[in-house]
Amino acid sequence: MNGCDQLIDYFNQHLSEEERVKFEQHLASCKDCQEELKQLEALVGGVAFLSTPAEPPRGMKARVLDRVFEEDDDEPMTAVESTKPAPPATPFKQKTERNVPVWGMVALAAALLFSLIGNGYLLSTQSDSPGITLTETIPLDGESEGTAYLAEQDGTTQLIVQTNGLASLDANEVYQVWLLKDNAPIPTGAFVTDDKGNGTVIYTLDSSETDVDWDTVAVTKEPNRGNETPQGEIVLIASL
Amino acid sequence: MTDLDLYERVRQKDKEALEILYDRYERILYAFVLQLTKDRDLAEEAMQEVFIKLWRGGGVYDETKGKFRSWLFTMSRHVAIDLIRKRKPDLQLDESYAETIPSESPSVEKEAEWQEERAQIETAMATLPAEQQQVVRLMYFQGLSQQKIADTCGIPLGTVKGRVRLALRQLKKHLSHELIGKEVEQ
Repeated sequence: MNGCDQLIDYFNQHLSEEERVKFEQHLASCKDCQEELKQLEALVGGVAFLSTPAEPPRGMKARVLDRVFEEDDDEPMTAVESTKPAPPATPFKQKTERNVPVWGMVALAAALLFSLIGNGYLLSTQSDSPGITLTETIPLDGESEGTAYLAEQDGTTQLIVQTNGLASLDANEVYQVWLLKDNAPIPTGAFVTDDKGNGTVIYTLDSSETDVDWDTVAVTKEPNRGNETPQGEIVLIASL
Repeated sequence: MTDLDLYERVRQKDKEALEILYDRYERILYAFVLQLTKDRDLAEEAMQEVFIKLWRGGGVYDETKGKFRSWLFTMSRHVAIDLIRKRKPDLQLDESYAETIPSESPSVEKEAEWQEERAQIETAMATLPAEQQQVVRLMYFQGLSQQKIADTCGIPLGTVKGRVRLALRQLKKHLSHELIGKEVEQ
């Protein structure tokens, strides 16, 4: 099975990590699947009421809420910001003065010389893509968890972005990944997220793009697919 | 106060707002995750996880997503399925969905809650042919794979999606905007 045939297994979480990533790539470009997924999710709000009534356990509320607020004290949230759109004229101006982790200002080309860094992505792709070598892992800073990876495969450079916990998208919206040098962006792949904000995009740089010393990778929420310059706000960003 | 108002306040770290949301959804959410997990401890753990997510902003809702309630239930469903896979990998979600739940007689007064919603979805389900009702339950409450749904219903794999689609289309006709949100009303 592939493509549209996997929608139900995706919805019911039966896909392996690898299949999920592949399906999400399909989903990003398949309007029918996007629409059907939306319908499946919307109906959860109806069918939930078919549940057999059950008495909540005594004291559950106190246990749950105590734990919720305790979690908060233990582990302060990584700043959740308001989602005001960035001014359109300066789409790549950062919304706050928070420090973006600077990873040694490593240029992309130089990064390719880095030794192999082991991680989940590599392990999951290594089995079926023996030629892939991960060259850099860059945590993204912003509204959710996210990581960018640079990888090399058969002499080409790939930019991989994975996210967790991004805000949900409207029908035509996509998350768009950009590489920037001196504030000049190029689009490097778009993706949509599942209901946990998980999303993945893999972009293969062409030879001229590989030669550029990119200084920043960013993800924006775009009102539609295919924008050549960013129109939406930045949700994730990191220096390269 | 609407769910959305409360959610916005929760985003601003308003504990009282989270408590109101909790009170509003405790019974139906608990019933829902219990239906999925068939285990009271796991159901409580799922509740815990759901409200931690709400509070800490893991999984973010915005209005463009549709109905808050659908989003909340969808998120809770994912949490419950995740927990089952982690804690009880041997549990087959395809066990009989209702009979295995330990029953405690719910108080009549409390069950007046959500009565309208229950009536609506039950009426809608009743309009479906038996085989479509079955597919809805296998999909939503048992979280089966497409292959297992096909096997259970005795239909070809390729027919499952069509049957799900038919069932959803029919259900939508009978469910109000209030219940499932505008976005599915075509």
